[in-house]
Amino acid sequence: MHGKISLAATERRGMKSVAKEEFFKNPPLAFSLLLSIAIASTEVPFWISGFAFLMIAWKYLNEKFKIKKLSTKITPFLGALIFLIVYIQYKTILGQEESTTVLLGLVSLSILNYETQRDTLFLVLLGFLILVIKSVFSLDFIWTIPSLISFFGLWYSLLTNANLNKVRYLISTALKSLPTMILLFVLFPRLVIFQSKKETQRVIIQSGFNEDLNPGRFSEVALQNQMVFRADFGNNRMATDELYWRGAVLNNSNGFIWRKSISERQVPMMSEPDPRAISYRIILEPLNLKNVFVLDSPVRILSASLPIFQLPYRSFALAEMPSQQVQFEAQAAFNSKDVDIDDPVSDPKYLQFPKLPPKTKAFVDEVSAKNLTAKTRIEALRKFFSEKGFIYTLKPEAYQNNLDDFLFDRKKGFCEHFAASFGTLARALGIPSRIVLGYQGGLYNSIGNFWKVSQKDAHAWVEVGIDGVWTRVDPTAWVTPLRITLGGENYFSLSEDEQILYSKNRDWKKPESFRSALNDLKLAFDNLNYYWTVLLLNYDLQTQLEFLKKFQANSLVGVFFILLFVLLMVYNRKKILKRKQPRNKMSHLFSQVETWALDHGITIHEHQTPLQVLSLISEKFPILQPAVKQVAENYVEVLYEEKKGSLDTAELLRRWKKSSSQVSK
Amino acid sequence: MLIMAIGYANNLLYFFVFMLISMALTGMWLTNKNVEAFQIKELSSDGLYADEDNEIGVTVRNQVSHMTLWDLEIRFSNTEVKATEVFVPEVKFEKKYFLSWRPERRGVHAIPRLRIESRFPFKMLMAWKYYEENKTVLIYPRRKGCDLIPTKSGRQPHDESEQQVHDQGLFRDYREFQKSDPPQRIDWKRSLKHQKHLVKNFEASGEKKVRLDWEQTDFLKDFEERISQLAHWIYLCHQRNELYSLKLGQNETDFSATPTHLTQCMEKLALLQPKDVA
Repeated sequence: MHGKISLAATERRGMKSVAKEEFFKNPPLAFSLLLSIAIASTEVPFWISGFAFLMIAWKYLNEKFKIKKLSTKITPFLGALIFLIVYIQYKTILGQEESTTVLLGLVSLSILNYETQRDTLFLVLLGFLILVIKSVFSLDFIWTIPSLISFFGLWYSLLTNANLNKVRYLISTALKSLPTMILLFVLFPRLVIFQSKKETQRVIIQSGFNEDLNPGRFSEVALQNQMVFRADFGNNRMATDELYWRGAVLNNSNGFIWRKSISERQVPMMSEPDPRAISYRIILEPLNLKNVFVLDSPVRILSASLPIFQLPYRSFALAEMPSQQVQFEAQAAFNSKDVDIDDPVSDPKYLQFPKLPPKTKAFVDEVSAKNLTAKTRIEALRKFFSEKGFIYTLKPEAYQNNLDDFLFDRKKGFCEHFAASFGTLARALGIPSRIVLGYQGGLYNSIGNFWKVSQKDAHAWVEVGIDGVWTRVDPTAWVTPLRITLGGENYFSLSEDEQILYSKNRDWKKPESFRSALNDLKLAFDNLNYYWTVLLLNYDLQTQLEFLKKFQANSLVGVFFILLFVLLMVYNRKKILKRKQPRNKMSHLFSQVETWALDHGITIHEHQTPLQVLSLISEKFPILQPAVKQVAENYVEVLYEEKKGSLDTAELLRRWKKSSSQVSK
Repeated sequence: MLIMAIGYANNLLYFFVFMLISMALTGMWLTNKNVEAFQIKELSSDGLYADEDNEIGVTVRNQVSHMTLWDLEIRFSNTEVKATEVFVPEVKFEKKYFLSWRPERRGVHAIPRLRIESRFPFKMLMAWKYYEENKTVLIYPRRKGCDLIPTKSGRQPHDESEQQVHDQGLFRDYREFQKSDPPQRIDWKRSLKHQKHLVKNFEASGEKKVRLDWEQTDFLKDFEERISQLAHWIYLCHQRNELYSLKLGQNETDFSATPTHLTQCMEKLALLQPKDVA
């Protein structure tokens, strides 16, 4: 073959100028980078996302419609301005959110200044950085999929050879990378050398849960579908109305408004497993909350991915704000009585209440006179809440801390209204009480056998002290039993008419036809997401060490398998070497013959077999027929019949060289 | 990024970082393989002149059977000449490319080593290797000087009135235009017909023999310039298919117009030392 593709010398000399590139003429790069920016945009303030997309739109218009380019003198100024704004807003630029904000701004400016192939490499690296940072914010599978698309898209954009089947090549490269990736992932020690904190100055109510109770404040966030945690009971089947997820306890009543006590002393935590208790696993989402949600019964926390300590009132908290999902194993003993030694029922603070408004005062006096025991007084309150026309709604008007207005006039509210008013009434009737805030129910994922608890499940209930034991009383269950048996998410998915119609019927079930294919798909995706998160969270240093311990525990078996593996390798290697040595030598010899043939003007096509090549040589150079015959015979013996050749390969090579040297080029 | 992953103890971060590392490592390995499998079979050259862009033929080959080679570049490592892109796709596939080389001086030179490099596939990292052939080549002198060929042997005063321009012999045939041909010799009508530049070849005039002598260049002071002038006349004679001889000191060649004669004369000039003409 003969070709001439060299450029004229004059053209070739001094070609140091760099060709200009257009960002949008590299669609894989543009798509992947924009996708990565879009993914990260959910974690930064709106203004920076807007700024980034404005800069990118400018670049598009500049390339497409040749509108004026932003001067390169202005872009450093804009970069500095971004730093300044972020610093003013957050008082730092070192936090997770702050640095991501700055990064997105700078990436958009880099896109605006994109001009050369070198800029492509720089932008690809920035794209990888954005994706890595996004995974700090969320482990969620829903973000992992577009992140992976963007990740491989960025690699794809680097493949520029037009003749290459790029998709195939990228897949092949990714597959070749997989073993290294798996090895690194499995073996890299998960040492926690230092723990980065999620630092943010942003104050966003991300949870329907708050640490005080001021009815009406959280109704809007409680309508959000945001997931708070997932719970897995293994093989234990749980009913929705059993699931009261305890978060915080409030014990200071101011009528309609309740607050927690100031003291946050830690109390000793029970962590010994109880064989009679039900075990479960919780994966808590990072929601700017330190609260840990556990089942509303005497509880033990067995293990956790972050330190958890116990607060008074049977509540738990994380030592610090979580930057990612937190996983813990806990146990709940449903049938045991919660004496709560740390906060006994007899504490006089549980009977303190403010001055009651007239109608409430009259009602309390009436109930006190008619009922002498705590149980009968609670029964009187149950009748009052269930029979006096209370309506469960998330959109009641504000009450201004007026119990009379709520209890005797408007009677519209949701769990917080019922719990707050019931707690105060109980104290007024001489029954110790406290409010518990948390979540109730959840959405059961039948495919993955776990519960998903969202903001819609936010709930408040009351604990009353009867016979020295704290007992749960949920006035919402008296007003709207269906809310408790369906769980928040299912209940709020009903229309307002259905809610009014069926709210008193605790056994009402959603018809099966309600389950659409879309719903099944959502369940399947939730399930996938759950296991993905569990997989990512579970693999820590402890798991790695346990893995090694397993080897130690079964050391004999381990040693046996390792020895077997080594022996097999040695045996195979010997076998391979034995078989391959002559084969390699013969292949090498043939390669030399083939090169000689090419050098002597014989055209060899790819489809031609070695024997055909040898016969071509014989035809063209009859003088070489005996030597070629010897090569062919030995080739067949060694490579096809897998025997030792009748002639030693070195000798054969020597003879071939001697014969072939008689032929001139 | 790895420090970030350690700091946050985040497995998804580890996943992306390790994927990034392993893809980069695989890319590095592929880049190396791409260069490693590329083989230069031979370098060929023919009639190389000093201070001219000479073409060196480079025959390249893919020596692996399972891999296509992509985006390879070869160039002489000591030149700033832009690399030539090479594409060697199949096993045992051979192709000849031409690289430009401009040696500065006449004489025996080693062909500069070749640098083979590639940034394939991701253009992030570069792998390279060198190819050096232990072969020397003879560089002919630079062809430079006045076009007027002296007709008399011996000392030539630099006076154009005493010089004559040669008549050409009878037309023989056409040949393809070469770089050193004066453009006015192109037969444009014929060239248009054959879609390539053609110049006329003439029979040697027979009676007119050109005797080229070192002494004829004494109007030039510099030793190298004198050699260049002789080389230029020789080449002109060769192009015109004239019989010529070359006298250097006491040694004189026969009259001839063959390519072999041209080579012999150029070789003598390439290796000429001052003592040879003293």
